[in-house]
Amino acid sequence: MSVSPDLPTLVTLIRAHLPDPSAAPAEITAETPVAGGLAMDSLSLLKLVVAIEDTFEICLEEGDGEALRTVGDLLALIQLRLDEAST
Amino acid sequence: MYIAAAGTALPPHRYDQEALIDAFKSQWQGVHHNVERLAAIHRNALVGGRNLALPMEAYLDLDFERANQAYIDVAVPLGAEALEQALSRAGVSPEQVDVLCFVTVTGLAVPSIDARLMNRLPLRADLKRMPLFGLGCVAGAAGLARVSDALKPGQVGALLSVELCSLTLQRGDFSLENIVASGLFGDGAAAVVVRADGEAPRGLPEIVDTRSIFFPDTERVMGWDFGSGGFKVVLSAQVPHIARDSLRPGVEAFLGAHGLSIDDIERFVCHPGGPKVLEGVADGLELPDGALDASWASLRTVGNLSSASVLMVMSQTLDEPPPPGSWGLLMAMGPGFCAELVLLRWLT
Repeated sequence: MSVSPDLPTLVTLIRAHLPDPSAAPAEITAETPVAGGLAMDSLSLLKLVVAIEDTFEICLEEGDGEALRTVGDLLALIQLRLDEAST
Repeated sequence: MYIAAAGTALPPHRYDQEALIDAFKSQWQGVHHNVERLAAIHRNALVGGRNLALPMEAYLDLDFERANQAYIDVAVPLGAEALEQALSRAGVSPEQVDVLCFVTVTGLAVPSIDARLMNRLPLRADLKRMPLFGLGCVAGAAGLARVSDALKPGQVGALLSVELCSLTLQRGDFSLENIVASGLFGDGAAAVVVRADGEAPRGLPEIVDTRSIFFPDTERVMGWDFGSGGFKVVLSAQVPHIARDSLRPGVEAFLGAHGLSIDDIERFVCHPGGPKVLEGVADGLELPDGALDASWASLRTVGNLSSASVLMVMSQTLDEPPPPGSWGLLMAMGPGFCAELVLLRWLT
């Protein structure tokens, strides 16, 4: 059974995959930039993507990252993929 | 002092990367939702296939004890094959070897594999053995440097690397680090013979100098953690960044001590750590296109064989030597984090 996509769930996932929590902002909001704002390296980012796919039972596409600017955009993308899967 | 010959040996169980991916998929299913993403990680390693110590189905029954026993059972004959080939190519009999350095990081054996080879090959009882464990991927370069340090004038030395990376595989570890490693590393052995009995004959490289480089406070960049299941890989995204950003100053200082620059190196013999590492090395040292072709070819053919890989690339380089007078640089990086450099020259 998949988990509902909400901001607290996503922020918990993000925090669990930060390579250096001390380098991340104290508060992660929908406006926090994904690139640069979270200080994630390539392996951490890949781990986060896999965790998102496992948690929400979705498949993110190769080009999905290109339009992402903020954590809110990422949440919207997760919802979009869930909606596509249910139709 | 010069490299007289190299030898290589691969275990007989050969699988192409897609066959291995199919086998891994059955393990990943039920744990990870998008197994195609994990398959893409394996494809992105740009490895065409790998030789394994055991038939694929045998890995399902391995625990740490069985895996390590398999390591010993396979490492001894595979190591003997690589060493005998190198000695034969060098025109050296086992009895002539004065120093034998053995490097590995993928299995444990006491007595070490080099000691077990004493009972298999006609090596002398007064042979000075030097088993080195823990240097990881850097050990091919480091071992060559240590052999050259240890040899006295007139002596013959050999370096043997046996790495059976597949036997360290943690089937129950579904971490990304383990998945990345399981797509990249293969099994094999390689040996190099070094002679300190005169100038290098035409076509063979003189060992001019060696250099160790240590990068402080990088202990978690690469290595093993050990648990009841055996070896668990430590791998960070920092490896390609160190290759790109931190290797160059050490290389320039080393070459500068000989009045050389990176542009003076005709032949690079580089450990094929993985696509991002090779790209990092090429970018960081600003190498011309094709400079690392032999390393890319080795990666594509057999994967990353840890310490044996750079010696496989060296073997290929000996088969196709550059023109007389050319300089060469053998280099590898590994846990520590650290690098080892060996300056080579093909004499005129």
